[in-house]
Amino acid sequence: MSKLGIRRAVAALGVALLAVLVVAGCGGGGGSSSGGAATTFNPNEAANLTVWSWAPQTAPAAKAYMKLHPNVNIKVVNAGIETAEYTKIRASLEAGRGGPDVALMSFPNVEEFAVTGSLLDLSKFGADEMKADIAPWCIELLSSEDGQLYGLPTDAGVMGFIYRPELLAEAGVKPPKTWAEFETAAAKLHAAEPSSYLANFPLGQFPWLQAMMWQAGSKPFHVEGSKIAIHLDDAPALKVAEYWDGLLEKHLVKAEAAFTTPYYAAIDRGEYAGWVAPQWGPVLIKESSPTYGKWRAARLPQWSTSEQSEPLWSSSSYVAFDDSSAPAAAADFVKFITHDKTNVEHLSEETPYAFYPLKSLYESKAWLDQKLPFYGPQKANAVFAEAAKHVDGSFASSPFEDYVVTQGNQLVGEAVDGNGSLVDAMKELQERVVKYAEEQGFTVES
Amino acid sequence: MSTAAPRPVELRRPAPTRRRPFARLPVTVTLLAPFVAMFVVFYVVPIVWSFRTSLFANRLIGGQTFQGLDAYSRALHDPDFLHGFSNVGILCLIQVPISLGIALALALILDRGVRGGGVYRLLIFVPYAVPTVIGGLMWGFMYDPKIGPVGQITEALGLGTANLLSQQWMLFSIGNILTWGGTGIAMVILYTALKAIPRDLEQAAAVDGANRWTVMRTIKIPLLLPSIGLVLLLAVIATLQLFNEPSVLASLAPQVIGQDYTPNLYAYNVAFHGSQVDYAAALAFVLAGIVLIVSYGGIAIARWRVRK
Repeated sequence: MSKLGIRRAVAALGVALLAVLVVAGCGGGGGSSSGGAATTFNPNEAANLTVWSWAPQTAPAAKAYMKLHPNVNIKVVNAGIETAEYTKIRASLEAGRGGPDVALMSFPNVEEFAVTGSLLDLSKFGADEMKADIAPWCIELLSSEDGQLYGLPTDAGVMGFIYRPELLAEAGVKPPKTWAEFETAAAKLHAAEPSSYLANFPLGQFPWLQAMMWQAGSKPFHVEGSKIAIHLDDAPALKVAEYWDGLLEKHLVKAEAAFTTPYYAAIDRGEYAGWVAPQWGPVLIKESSPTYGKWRAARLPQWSTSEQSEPLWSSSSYVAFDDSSAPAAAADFVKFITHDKTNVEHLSEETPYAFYPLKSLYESKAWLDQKLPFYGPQKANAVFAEAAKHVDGSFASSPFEDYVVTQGNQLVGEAVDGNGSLVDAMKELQERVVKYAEEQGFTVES
Repeated sequence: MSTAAPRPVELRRPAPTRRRPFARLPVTVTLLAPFVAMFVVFYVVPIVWSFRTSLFANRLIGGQTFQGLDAYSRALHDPDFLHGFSNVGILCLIQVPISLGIALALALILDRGVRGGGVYRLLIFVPYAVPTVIGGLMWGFMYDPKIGPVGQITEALGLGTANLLSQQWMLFSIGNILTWGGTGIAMVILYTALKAIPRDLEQAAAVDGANRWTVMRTIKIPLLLPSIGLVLLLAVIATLQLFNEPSVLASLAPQVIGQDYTPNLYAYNVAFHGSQVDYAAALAFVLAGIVLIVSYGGIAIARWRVRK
């Protein structure tokens, strides 16, 4: 092309770029909210719902719902697990379109979307009738201060101490009831069998450490509109950090990346006599493991003998979005998938080793007596049902859990690798999160 | 008959055509259009849009506000971001020359002519064809002290169980994966360039009494310098942008590979875990700027040395 032609082409390109910048500079598009639409579900109205969920149980539940309500069409899409899905939701909210009507969301992440006003208040759509049948701490964890219910729970990560009785008996150790007993038991076990550990300290799983601090009574966040109180390094949190610092220093627990092939291999070899685990933990152990059937469940060790407190690790809920084209239908589907007895019973049969927070289920004899091959003859559900009575529902999450967890993982990892203690890590985390909250426009209160 | 020297054949110059400067423009445009369209849509527009994104801060409280170049000054003062550069910098200074040295040696050996050379070339190239994520995972499992062969071998040799995923060894381990995967393509490029060197140069040198090493030193490598320069440039650019291998190994060794292990990994974490897409865009531009400076700096130095 001649020089003139090249110049013209470059000029045309420049104009195109400028146009893009100008159009872009005129601000992003805003989503249109469907506020004011009917809040009672009308089954005779046609509705199209898009549900984003990574759980395999969502699609069959959607099918069952469509059978009951032929005018509602549901498309279930797997938009990625957790962060991957939340990133897409954020992008769709910013673009004003392309997002789902209903989504599966972990408890701690609901806060972020509730704060930005993107979620439906399900209590306006008849969810209040169900509150009596749902574990009260779930309601507390999914509600705002002024009683707005932003999600309905589908499964809760109740925790316990899972152990190998014959390995403990060999070392003359009993399953510990308090954390003090845990330390003694870990020492005794490790002395008797140096290649064996009472439990692992899972790396790359900051929510596990958050759960431990939750149990001790830590209250890291309190959000009120655009004001936030951050206390990641409060006394209970530091107490827990110091405790695990001690165990790691004395090599009584093994710090290892969780849920990886080497970890499962270690379990198979009997290197771990116990596991500070969530109820859904056994789902990840293959049935072909030589340890299958040899585990028993016990309550999580407690900090005091008089009071009991329980945390959660990884619980999921369904939420409905404010910009849905059919909010009543969306809310109705959320109610169905989390509350319909047949559906939840079916879920608990298909996927045992989970806590479904429906009173009519977890208080039923059938569920308490459920056969769980991982635990051999033990009816382990009863242990977790007992634990569920003591879950502290006042533990609030931040509106930016992704950031907190990523920083937490980094700082805990550095501490465990020899660069300081967990106590220092929590103090550093506090500083970083405060800075981040201020960057995000929050007023941080002390 | 006169035996005059044969008249040189007159090359007939074609008659000069009339000047029609845009005669072939329609054809050019039609052939270029698909590429230009894709280039603009998938390359230019995203870059412009990213730049625009970096100019507007997006906050949970307060929404979108214009922040100008604030994100860039923040990026240049961010210790986590700069920490990543120290890691990739070490790789650039150590791993890249080693990898290129091996590639050059292999290319020279194969060029000399080895029986079954084609098979060797293929085998050396195959690791490059393995996707980086799969290669990273594979090596990660091999490095793991519990389930991998490396730990078992060192134990058998009485050296204790080496943990190649620990803090001290991680850069070496990643460098090893990069060398394993990248030497093949460098070798193929250098080998092709070697094959383009005319054989009579070698033969003339041999006639002059040069042995193999002298030939290599004075003929082959100097003529290879442009190709070596190219391969070096590509390797440095790729290493500065390292992402795949640390990202894959992070799940096996989360305590070693933090969110800021390499600049690219940091930008990714800022965008997707910190929801600060504007800051991530600024980080990406700063990284691109540094890569540009390093590559143009390298080219400028090379040109200056050639001119000397």
